[in-house]
Amino acid sequence: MNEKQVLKALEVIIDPDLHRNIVELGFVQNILISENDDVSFDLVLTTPACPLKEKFVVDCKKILSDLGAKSVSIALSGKTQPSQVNLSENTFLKDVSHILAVSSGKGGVGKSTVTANLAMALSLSGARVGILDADIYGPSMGVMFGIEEAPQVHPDKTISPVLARGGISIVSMSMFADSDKATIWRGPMASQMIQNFLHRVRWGGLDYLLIDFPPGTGDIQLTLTQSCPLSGAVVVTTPQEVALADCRKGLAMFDAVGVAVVGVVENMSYFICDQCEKSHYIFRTGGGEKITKQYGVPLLGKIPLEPSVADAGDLGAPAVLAHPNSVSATEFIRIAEQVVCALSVLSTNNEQVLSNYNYEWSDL
Amino acid sequence: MILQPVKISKTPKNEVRFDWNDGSFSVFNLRALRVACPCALCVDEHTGERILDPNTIPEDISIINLRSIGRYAVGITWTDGHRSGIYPYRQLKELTKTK
Repeated sequence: MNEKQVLKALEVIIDPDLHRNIVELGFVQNILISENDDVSFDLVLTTPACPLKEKFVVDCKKILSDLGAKSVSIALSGKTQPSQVNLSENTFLKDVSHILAVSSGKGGVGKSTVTANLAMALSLSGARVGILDADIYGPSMGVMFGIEEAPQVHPDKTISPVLARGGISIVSMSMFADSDKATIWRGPMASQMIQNFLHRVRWGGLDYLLIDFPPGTGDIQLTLTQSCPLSGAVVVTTPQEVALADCRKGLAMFDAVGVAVVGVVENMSYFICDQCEKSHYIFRTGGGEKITKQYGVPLLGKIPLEPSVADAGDLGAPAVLAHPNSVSATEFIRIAEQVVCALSVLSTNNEQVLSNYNYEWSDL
Repeated sequence: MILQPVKISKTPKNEVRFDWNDGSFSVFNLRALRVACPCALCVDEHTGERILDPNTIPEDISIINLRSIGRYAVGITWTDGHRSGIYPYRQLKELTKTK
């Protein structure tokens, strides 16, 4: 048995995420074959946390045993290549003053509506605003702002954001994928896409970059919090107990990664009837207050359900722009003012703090 | 308050020093910090058991690069090529408390 035979045999094992075989990917290294056909080699994966590592080992062992190897010993490691994009290379984020995460523990609470309207309120107040729609599994910024064009992709693979209504720069997954097709990706692929989004978009000078997080507290959310220096986070919830339970998880996640939660926005708090203009409390009330009391984060505001406002989102203009005098718009503007205030306080308090560094030991 | 560094420096004894925003500081022997690496290659993700054999770490190991990971941790590249370790600030401060 020789090295060539071993490599040839192992070519049948395909990495399901990268769609290439493990030999071609260079995972198989340092093959040693003894005279008795005892085979040993290193299996160098792209990440130490590869969910498929055990399966690769089992498959390799089976294939080589079938080939006639007396014993197979595999040393697993997960050295990431030094040529990879450095996580701290936030080149295009250097001119962004504040990065705000808009997150929710659970889907369907209206997080994207809140993001769009906060962005619009900030922009109307004179700030330069961008939105990164990081909800890669269900991007909706394209619809909310009525964007149909794709962003310009430059030869060096950087991306220029689309300039949308209200002068807001937007990049969304929806601009790159067919909106009728689902994005079906495993964690590592999704995380890599997110990093491309973060590090390859030419945001230019921005006062606020809002990142519309995917709902929940998983892989992508963690990548996002690790890949850029977030200034703060807003957590969106609805008044029901189930949503609040997930909202607590969202708060706990930001706490774990050292990001200050600016406050909680309670969406769909009540319904304003378009006939009698009375406020109807459909869900139980007081949920947002409960969270803020328990965790000491401010309740930034309560957004009602207003049919005209909901329509505005679907028609491609956020309520703050389309219905500036509605109860919702007024509330969004009030929330935006509080966010601006809280972020300034945070950045002043953190003036001395190292938030985005990359030191060579020899220079220290 | 969220624990964050205000200064990262090298001590005369070639140790790494973190000055925190709460006024305290932590100093680490480089090799001890490498051995304490919390990444999935060095510590079993599920049991928390240490996989890394400290005897495999050279006595003269040093740091190549230190970089921020979001707002809560430092990522360190070591001279043995290891770069997957993410050290949360809180954990670093805990390490100095117990030792």
